[in-house]
Amino acid sequence: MINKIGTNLKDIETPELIIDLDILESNVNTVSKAYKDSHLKMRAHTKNLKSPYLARKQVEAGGSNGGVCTAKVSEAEVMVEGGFDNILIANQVVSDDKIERLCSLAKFADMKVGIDNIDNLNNLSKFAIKHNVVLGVLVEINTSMFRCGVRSSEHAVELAKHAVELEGIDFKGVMSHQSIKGLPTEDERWKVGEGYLEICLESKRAIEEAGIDVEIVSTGETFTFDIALKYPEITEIQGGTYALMDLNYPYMPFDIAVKVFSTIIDIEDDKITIDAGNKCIAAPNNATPLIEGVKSELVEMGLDYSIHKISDNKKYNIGDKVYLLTTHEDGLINRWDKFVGIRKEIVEGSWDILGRGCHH
Amino acid sequence: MERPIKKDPGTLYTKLDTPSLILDLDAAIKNLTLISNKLNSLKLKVRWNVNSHLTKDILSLQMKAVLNTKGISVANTSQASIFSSLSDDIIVNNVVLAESKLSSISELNASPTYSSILQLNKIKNVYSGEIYIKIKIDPGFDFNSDIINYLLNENHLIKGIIFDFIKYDKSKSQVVQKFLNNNPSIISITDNFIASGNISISEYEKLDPNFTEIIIDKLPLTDIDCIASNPEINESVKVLTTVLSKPDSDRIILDTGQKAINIDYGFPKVKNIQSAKIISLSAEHTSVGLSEKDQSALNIGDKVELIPSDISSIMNQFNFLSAVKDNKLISTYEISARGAYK
Repeated sequence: MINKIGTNLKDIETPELIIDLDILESNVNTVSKAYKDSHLKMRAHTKNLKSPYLARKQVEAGGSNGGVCTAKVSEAEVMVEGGFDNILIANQVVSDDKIERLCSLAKFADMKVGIDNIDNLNNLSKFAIKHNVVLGVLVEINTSMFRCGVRSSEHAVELAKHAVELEGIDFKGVMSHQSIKGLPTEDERWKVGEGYLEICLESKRAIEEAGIDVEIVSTGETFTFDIALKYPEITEIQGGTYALMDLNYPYMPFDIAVKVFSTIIDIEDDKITIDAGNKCIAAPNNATPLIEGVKSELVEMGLDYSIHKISDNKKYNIGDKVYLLTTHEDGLINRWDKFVGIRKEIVEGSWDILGRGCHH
Repeated sequence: MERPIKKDPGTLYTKLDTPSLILDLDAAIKNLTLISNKLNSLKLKVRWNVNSHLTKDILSLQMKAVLNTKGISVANTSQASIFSSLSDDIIVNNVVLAESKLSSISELNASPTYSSILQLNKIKNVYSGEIYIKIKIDPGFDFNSDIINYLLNENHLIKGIIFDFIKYDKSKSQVVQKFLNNNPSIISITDNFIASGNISISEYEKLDPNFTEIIIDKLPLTDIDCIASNPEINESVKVLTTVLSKPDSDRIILDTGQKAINIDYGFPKVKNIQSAKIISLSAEHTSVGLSEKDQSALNIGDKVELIPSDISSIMNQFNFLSAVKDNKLISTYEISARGAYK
């Protein structure tokens, strides 16, 4: 069944990935207003949205530098094809095949990539020379995640010094990504956020003290989007979750725009079963989804259904529709091929999630 | 814009783009032969649960290798539509309520499944086709005859009863007989009893002889759970990844995270590196702790293989599967029903 424009939500088949366009626009406008007259600009992280259409909405709202981030070369290919010409792959690209593809993209767009290793940097240069392109590089600084990223400002300086000497490489600056656990108070959020951003800036300053210009400081994410405003040295924020939001950030000024619309298919005592399960909603062990507006607790997550214990006094019937909210927006979007945009429960459009499955 | 992710047949599997979902065809065929041999001496017909692989090419392998195949089990109407070109005997092994979906099911000659009186009441005025009834056999289960009494008084056309085991063991070996003893009149409705759920190969011959069919899940694909339950099978699936970073002396970062390998049912395992232990998976990365000796033996760009915890959910995250024989790519299987949720 095709979800035609103008269809009422109650008439569409479930499960379905829904984006409330009013909420999406409100979230995007919150950031664009904050950044409109600021030195700081948004570089939307499209690893979350995976859609050139949604990325375009973020850029057009204002407060953006016009560029986007991706996590993978294949996502960058989707965004270049979608018309973006300023892309930061906020990750390392190490395989020869992928570096070749990165160089191909550099013929169409200003391509930048994260680095944390000198051999990888040399390899990027080798392929850039071979393809007669220039690749921008940003040293990734570990601030809290302990994944990729250099562990010291000395290492950052070493890489920056090497990068400026290499043909085919344009040293651009530094980048970092950080996370915060649980539900921090406002004071805690600021303290933790400032601490992480300072770690990134420490490397930036060390590189400058070594006589190397730093054009870009690309850092942050949803929880530091406002904290970063106080640092004139930070040039851009890699904002991902804020546009569609999930259950992890109830303390931020954004609402949840992305939901899985589903149907109650069974009721037993205080438990309801709905037709949305693991396949269509990411539910890692520490991140369980909730039903919107219902006091509920996940009991079981099957592949194609989920069971929720209800603790309110409302009467539910088989066939009733509910919205499932996720704690993992990234994972949720990646499980769908299309989303349905609605406004006041009426279908306004349906768009392909072109970056879905772009793991490469 | 061309995205040269897929490689030509003959490519060494270690040269495939990562993360790649790899099927060892020889291991898969051996697993199917094992199943076929086990089932040959039994009267059971086989029904493949395509929801665990979502892939037409794998269903074709299954049907070719196991001759007493009767049909397939799917999770929803859209899967029924996708696989209807390969089988005309389809159980939609889930509740279907929407009239539009029931109409599609009728056109496909498939049959939906129900497990409660509430569900049956909901469809009785809008659907007159054949249906299956599912009984979940939990540990300590007790048959509730309410639904059977309801069926005896209603006009639903029952095509069979599915006994869905959370975990089959010998205590369930008379399960159908006990059910028949409790509900002797059920024979007037159906004599088709189907075993489904978590049943290891070694239990096939111990199943209640009243079973007429068995729904086989996952196999010939394997994962951590499947290998643990079936020690005689051959490991057939792995995920090829690349070392992306070596930021510390006792850790590597792989280019694969939850978007490719979901951890909803547990962490994957690292293959062939004894000291390796998964620390965490974020959306695009896996952090692996390992001894300094093993860490120093690996370089950025080297390949590391992971064994998934649950293959059914992971199949739904990839667009294609690389079928490999003698370490070389033979074919690329499209995961045809990926994302088919309705």
